[in-house]
Amino acid sequence: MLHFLNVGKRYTNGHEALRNVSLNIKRGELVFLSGHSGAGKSTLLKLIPILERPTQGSIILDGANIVRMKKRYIPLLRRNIGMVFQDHYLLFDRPVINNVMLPLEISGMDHRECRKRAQAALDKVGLLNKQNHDPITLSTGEQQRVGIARAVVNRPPILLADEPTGNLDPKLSQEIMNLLGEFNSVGVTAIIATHDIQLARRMRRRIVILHQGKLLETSIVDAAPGTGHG
Amino acid sequence: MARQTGAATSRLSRVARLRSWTSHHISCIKESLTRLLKTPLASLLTMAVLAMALALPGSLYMLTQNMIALSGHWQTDTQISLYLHEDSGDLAAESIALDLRQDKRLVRVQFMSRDQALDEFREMTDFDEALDKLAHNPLPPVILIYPRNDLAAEALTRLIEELAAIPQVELAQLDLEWIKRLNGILGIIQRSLLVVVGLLAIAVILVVGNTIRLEIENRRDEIVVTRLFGATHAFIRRPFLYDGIWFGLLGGLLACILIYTALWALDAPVVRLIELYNSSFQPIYPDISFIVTLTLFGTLLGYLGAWSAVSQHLYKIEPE
Ligand SMILES: Nc1ncnc2c1ncn2[C@@H]1O[C@H](COP(=O)(O)OP(=O)(O)O)[C@@H](O)[C@H]1O
Ligand SMILES: [Mg+2]
Repeated sequence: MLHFLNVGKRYTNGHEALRNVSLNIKRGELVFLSGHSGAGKSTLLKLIPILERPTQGSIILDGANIVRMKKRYIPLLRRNIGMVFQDHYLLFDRPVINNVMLPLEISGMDHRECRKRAQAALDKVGLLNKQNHDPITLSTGEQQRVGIARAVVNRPPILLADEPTGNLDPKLSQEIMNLLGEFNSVGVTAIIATHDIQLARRMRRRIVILHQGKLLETSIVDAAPGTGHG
Repeated sequence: MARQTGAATSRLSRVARLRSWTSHHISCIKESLTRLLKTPLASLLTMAVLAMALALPGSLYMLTQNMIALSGHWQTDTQISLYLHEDSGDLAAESIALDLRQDKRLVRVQFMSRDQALDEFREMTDFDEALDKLAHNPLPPVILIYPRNDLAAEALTRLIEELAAIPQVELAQLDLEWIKRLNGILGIIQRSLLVVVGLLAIAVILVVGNTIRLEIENRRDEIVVTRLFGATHAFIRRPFLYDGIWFGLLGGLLACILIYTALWALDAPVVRLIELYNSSFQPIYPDISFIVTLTLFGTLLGYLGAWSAVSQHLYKIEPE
C-alpha cells in the first residue's frame, strides 16, 4: 500500500535527514519507526501527508506517486491520513467535541452527523463523558486520547503517530499504544514513530530502525494475529 | 452498471458538496459575526475608523448634491435687468414695461424709475457725498424682468436677444454669473471627491487588512491544525473574508448614520440661512439608494481588505 523507494531528504540548510530509504508497508500493518533522536523519524512521517517533500526517490501510496502531487490535491490526500502528534495540537478555544469534529467539518460533513461521529470516536477512546470539557482541563494522557479520537474520526485508511507517548509516563504510554493497536486491528494501517524502543518491542509488531537518516533494520517481532502482514 | 453507480454517486456527492459548501458559508457568516461581537470594543473601534473614512466622501457627496439642488433652485429665480439708454426718460421706460407685461413668457415685470435706481444705489454704496455733488441723476431707468421658471435655456437666450433689440435698451443683463461660479466650484468639489474617495478607499482596505492580519496571527494554531487535516485554501480563508465583509458592511451602515446625524445637526441653521434669501429650499437627506450604495461600497472594501491580508499572510502559515 505504501512504498518508499530510495527516498532521500535534504533540508534547505543542507542537512541530510534521510538517505536512500526503501520501505514497504502493507495494508493493515502496524509499523513502529524507532531510532535515536534526530534519526529522521519525524521527517519520514512528514513525507506521507506531504508536510515535507523528499529530495530524492519516490513514495507510492495506493499505486500513485505522491512525490510530485500538485498542491491543490494535498488537502484531499490529508483527509485520508489521520495524524497524532506529540504536542497533540488541540485547540484550546473550543470544547473537546469540537476539536474532534474538526476533520469532519473540513471534509464538509453535515453538522449533526459530525457531532454523532465525533461522539462515537470519543466513546472509543473512553472520553465521551468529557465531550463538553475544555481541553485545557484534561490531563496530558486524556489530551492525547482526544488527539487520537480526532485522528480517527473520519476513519482514515492510514494513521500516523509521531511520538504519541512523548510526554507520558510508562503506564499511560502503554495505554496509548494499546489504543492505537486497537484501531490497527480494525484495519487501519498505522505507522508509529517513537524513540522508546523498549515500548515498541513490547508491542510485538514490526519495528523499523532509523540511524542518522539510514534504514538500519526492519524486523518483525512475533507479529500478533490479525495484523495482515505477509 | 458500475458506470451507472459511479455517475449516481458523483451526482449525489456534487449535491452533497454543494450543500456542505453552503452550510460552511452560513456557519462562517454566523461565526464571524459572533466573533466580532465577542470583542465589542475592538470591533467598534475598527468599525468607527471605517465609518469615518466612508462618511467623509459620503458627506462630501451629500454636500454637492445639496448644492446642486440649491443652485437649480435659485436658477429658477432668474432675473433679467434691462438698463435703458441714459437719456431715456421714466415715461418711455414705463411704456416699455407696460408692453412687456403682455408677454406670456414673463412672470413679473418691475419698473424702477431713475430716482428709485439712485436711491437703491445710495443704499448699496457709500458714494452718498459724491452723488450729491452731481448736477443730475446719472442713472438710467431699469426694468427688472422675471421670466417663467420653466423656460428652457434656448428660449431664455432668445428672450434676452429680443429684449436687447428694443431700441431704448442699452443692456439686457442676465444675472447668471454667480451661478456659473457656483457650478465651477461644484465641479472642483466633484473632481476632488474622486480623489478623496480613492484615498479613503485605500485607507479602509489598509485598516481592514491590518485587523484581519492580527486575526490571522491570533488564530494561527487553528489554521495549522485545519491545514493538517486537509482543509483547502478556500475553506481556511472563508471566515477571514467574512470578517472583512462584516466590518465593511457595519462600517458602511455606521457611516450612513454619521452622515444623517451631521445633516440633521446642520438642517436648522442651513434652512434659516436660506430663508434669508427668500427661498424655500429643503435639504436633501441620504435616500435608500445612497445608503445601499455606501454600505455595498464599504462591504466591497472590507472584502478587498480581508483578501489582501489573507493573500499576504495566510499562505505563509504552514504546518511544521
Ligand atoms: N525543517 C528542518 N530544517 C533543517 N533540518 C531539520 C528540519 N527538521 C529536522 N531537521 C533535522 O533533520 C534531522 C532529523 O530530524 P527528525 O526527523 O525530526 O528526527 P527525529 O524525529 O527522528 O528525532 C535532525 O538532525 C534535525 O535537526
Ligand atoms: Mg521527531
